[in-house]
Amino acid sequence: MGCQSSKAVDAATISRWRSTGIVSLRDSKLKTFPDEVFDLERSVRTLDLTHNKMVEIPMEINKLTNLQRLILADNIIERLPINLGLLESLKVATLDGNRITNLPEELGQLVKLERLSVSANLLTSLPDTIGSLRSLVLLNISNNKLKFLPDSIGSCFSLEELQANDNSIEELPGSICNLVQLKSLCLNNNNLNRMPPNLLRECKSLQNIALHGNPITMDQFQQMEGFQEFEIRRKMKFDKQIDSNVIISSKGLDEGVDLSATPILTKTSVPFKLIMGTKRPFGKEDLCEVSSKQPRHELSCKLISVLELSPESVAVEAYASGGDEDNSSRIIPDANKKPYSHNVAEVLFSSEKETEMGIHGSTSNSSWPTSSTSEEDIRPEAPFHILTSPEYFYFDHPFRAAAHHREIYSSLSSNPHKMVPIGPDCQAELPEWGAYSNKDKPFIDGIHETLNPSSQAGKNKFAGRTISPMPKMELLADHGKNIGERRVECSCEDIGSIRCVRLHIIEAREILKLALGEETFVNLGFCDMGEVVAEKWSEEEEELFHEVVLSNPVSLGKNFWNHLVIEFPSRSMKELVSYYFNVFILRKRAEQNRFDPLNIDSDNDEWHEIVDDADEGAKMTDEDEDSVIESPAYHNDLSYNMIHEEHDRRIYDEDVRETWEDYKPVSFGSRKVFTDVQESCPGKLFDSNSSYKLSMQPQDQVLSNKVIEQEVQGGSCTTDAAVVPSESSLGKTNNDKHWASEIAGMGSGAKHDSLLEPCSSKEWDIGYLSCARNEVDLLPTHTMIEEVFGDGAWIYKSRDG
Amino acid sequence: MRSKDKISYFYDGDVGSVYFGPNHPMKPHRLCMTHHLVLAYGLHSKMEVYRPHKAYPVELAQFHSADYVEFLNRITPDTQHLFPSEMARYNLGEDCPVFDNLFEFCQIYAGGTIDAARRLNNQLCDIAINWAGGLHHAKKCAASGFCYINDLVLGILELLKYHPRVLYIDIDVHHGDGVEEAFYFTDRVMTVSFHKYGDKFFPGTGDMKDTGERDGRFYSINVPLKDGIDDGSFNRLFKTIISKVVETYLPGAIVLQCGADSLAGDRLGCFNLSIDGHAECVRFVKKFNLPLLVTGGGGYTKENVARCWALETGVLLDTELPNEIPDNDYIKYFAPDYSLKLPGGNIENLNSKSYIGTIKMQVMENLRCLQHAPGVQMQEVPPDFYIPDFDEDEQNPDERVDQHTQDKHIQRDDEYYEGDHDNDNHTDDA
Repeated sequence: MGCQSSKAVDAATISRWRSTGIVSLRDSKLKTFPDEVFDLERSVRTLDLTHNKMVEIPMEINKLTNLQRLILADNIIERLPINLGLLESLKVATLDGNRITNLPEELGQLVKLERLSVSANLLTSLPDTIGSLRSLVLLNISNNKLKFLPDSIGSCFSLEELQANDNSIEELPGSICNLVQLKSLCLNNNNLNRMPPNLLRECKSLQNIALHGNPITMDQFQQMEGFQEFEIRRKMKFDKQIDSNVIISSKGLDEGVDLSATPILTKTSVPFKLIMGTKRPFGKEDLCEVSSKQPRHELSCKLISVLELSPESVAVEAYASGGDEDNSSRIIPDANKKPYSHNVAEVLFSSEKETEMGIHGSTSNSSWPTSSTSEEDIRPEAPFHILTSPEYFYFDHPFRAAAHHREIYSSLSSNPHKMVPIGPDCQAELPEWGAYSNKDKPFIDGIHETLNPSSQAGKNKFAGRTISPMPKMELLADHGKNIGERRVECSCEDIGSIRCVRLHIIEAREILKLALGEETFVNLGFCDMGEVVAEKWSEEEEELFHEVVLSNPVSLGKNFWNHLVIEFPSRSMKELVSYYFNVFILRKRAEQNRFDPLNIDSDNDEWHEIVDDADEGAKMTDEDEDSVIESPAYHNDLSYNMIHEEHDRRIYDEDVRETWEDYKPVSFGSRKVFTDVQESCPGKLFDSNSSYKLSMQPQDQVLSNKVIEQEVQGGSCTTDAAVVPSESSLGKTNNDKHWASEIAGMGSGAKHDSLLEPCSSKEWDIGYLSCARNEVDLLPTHTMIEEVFGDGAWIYKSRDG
Repeated sequence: MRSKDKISYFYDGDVGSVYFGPNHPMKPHRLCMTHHLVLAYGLHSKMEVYRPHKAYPVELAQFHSADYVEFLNRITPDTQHLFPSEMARYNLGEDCPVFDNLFEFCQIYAGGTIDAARRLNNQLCDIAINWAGGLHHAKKCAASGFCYINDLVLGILELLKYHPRVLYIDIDVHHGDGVEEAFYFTDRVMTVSFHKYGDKFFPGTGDMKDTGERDGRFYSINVPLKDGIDDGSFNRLFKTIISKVVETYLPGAIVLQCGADSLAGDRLGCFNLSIDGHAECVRFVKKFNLPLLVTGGGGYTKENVARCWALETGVLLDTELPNEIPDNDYIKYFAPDYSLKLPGGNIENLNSKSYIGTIKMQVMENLRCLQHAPGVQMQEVPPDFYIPDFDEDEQNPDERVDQHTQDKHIQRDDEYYEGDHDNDNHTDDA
């Protein structure tokens, strides 16, 4: 990769540097300090090396004794030369966005230093000598790793603005109360529990305090001595601004402290993502702003709020006046930007710095709050004066919206434009192109463990990863056919029954297992998918699992996972999750398919607990709440039920036959294939349906009334589903299709043909029988349902049972 | 019919065994369902199946900040209350809860994408699939939107070792903000995201006007869409833009994020795409015949996610899957119709013709800037032979292979980089 440091700087440039005293080497991909600069010695007054790749500043920098502005932002500097203190004329030092962990003690010798900005570095402490910086007006140490500030900071008598956002500061030194000039104190996102008690009383210039994202509460803050006076100053400032028509950001009247004790949450004002009928906070909104803190956001917001223009028109204006500046594209989004977190106050002064960075007409888009970005963004909009006091920021704009900030805010919040955060904490570091020489060995590590040992055999693990496709294909030929067209060429008498379906699932498994070999089969994850997972669980465990889940419904604010972990100390979380999805939910799903086929949402963990757990109908989820439909609704939709029945018979035969399966247990036991299967899956697969029903309704007999209730709900849910357009409509479309082809004559279904007829006739009977077998006292149930809903209803019901 | 492309497919069952928490819409179990459906259709016989390695923390730190990775590695549900400020700083807790085996989960899905990229780099396959990956919101120093580690960025960084330019395409309903942000300043990665924008829809970024900065100016393309876009308009727009992008940018490899939440009926999404419409994008991208890394992404109606990705696996394998879902252990999840295809939705399409036209024009305009701007000539040109960099695997020194074995297998019959030489008139190796 090319690097300018290797190029000789041409003479013209050097002479320009010499004559202007300004050495600007922004964005020059420099890795080392250009030696040519040192030759200029005393003529250099401003040195700007923003956004290069320098790691170190050579000691020779002390030759630049007239240097007033040193700008080294956005490099990868890790430490500063210790002789930095010899730069006696230095007034401005901008070191943002480097990797500095410590500032040298010698810093204290820079007695003329007025602005020191070291944000977004890795500072863990500040040198005590910082107290010698008696001219320091601005100190920005935001976004570092500071836990405390040195006591000596109280000696920086000229300090007007202290920015220390995004650190881990736990307490401020009491000496901070000595800073009588201090106007702005920004400490967002730290760990402050309390403030020095005298702060508001002693710091008589203090007008702005930002303490968002700290444990400190508004109450605590308000109880501090001198709060009233502070509040008056703060308000006066705003009054003054309003009176003189300056722009106030929507955050401008922010009170500085989070009203709630959970700052991050409350700050999120637009933070919702729809989830399960409730909303899920963005959460990250703030963090973005916190981490990059781009003052531009708020600036542009001001533009909009003041001008009351549509974002679009502001954008155009900004764009037009921005001219060809490289970052004009940046300005457009800026203008549209509206802050989400309306109560972050740090913005008030954050752009008041580094004016010199704009001098060069630089095109940088540095993300540092202290960089010129904010200024550049404003510049196209209107020329403004750079004052030394923080108030300069409120440049002369007509303030038409002489309104409360909340109004402004609300008028802005309609179409937010969130900026892409930029800075070293955001962008990736790219591998340099060409850094990988041909001499290196290509690395393919063996990191992937192949899941197909067969492919590994014979060849090395990188070579033969391909499964040799042809033999495999042949092996899988029949299998592929079968699984592709299920339920078609099945010769089972009870085609479509749960037993039949299971048989085919198991056949498919066996064929696959044969084809793949046991090891590959296992490796591909077959043993961890599906109800076979239950094999690893004892029946008692399974019952316990169900019990725990059902007795701790999330809808009641309980978290059954916590209980599961306690109840199953020997089971890892992975096993629990695996069982939950592979067995528990899957079985529930079978139930769901029957009860509520058109309103299926297996993502709703609660579905079952709600309906099955229906010791009371009150525990219904949102969806279900609406669907507690009374009998008339069900009645009205009878025609739908007809479709549904037909559909059910045709499509849900699996579940329908499930009942039949229960009814004729002998038949499968006599089958050879099946016997094997039973051996391999100790009966669980087959018992599961009846057993889980029992476990979920352990008191079926006793609770027959409830069963009725439940059934009615099951039915009504379905009915409701037909009315709900969104999801159910998908299913319905398909139903209709099936139905259309079969409605003319049941049993003339394209695929099942003759087999369908006997099956379906059986099924009509079986519903009842199976219910009986389930020991659910359904006779009264369906009689009653029949009374209420008519025959069709009963038929439908019985299948559900 | 077997695809002539060589496909590597990555899966580790452990990704499916994590749980984000009750009522959290992200259900990693969908990955099991997808995998199972892929197997049920017998697709494993047409491709190579791999278990990815678990990415080492140092690999994750190729993009993420070391302290963040460290914290993810350390934090557990039991200890999270001890670190409130870190939890907040890294945006853990809300959308991104701390759950059991969180870090392993990240390692697996990130490892899958990294491995996929490495296999592509070494030309051991033409297409690599990692449905567990695609977590495009994760930021360098923070989790975001159910994403912790940004495997896409890591995969792209890996691809950048061999490819001068990588194209990233994102058809998740949410904006691919993490990837865009990571490569906002570079012209070596072009990000194209099609997403729902506006109405405070997460994550809020992705305005058409965000086009990248510095070297990366015009190398971020955002296609903001409104609710209810349907197959027709989406596919037309997608094809127009992507073909122009590929023609202009001449990428060496493509990374395609196939978030399935852009499907109709998704719990969080709001588009009307059918599975066919979604898969059409995959089919189209495959046609460029460039090294292709396909990942998953969002998708919160898990049956549909499984349907979609299984079908797209088929698309990548040039295999038409029968619509009737074959018997498999999860068949019950696919009730009531047990069919693979999912029809489009019927939410009102708020994307007017003129709106789509405006987007298209604006994107084309930006692409033209890229073409004509003198300063944006592609900086780097690939050498004829690419060698990867790798050093972090000291932990597995045994698994290195010798050069010869390696070389035998990096031949391929087609040349992917024909376009790259068009730009080799500029090198800045001064």
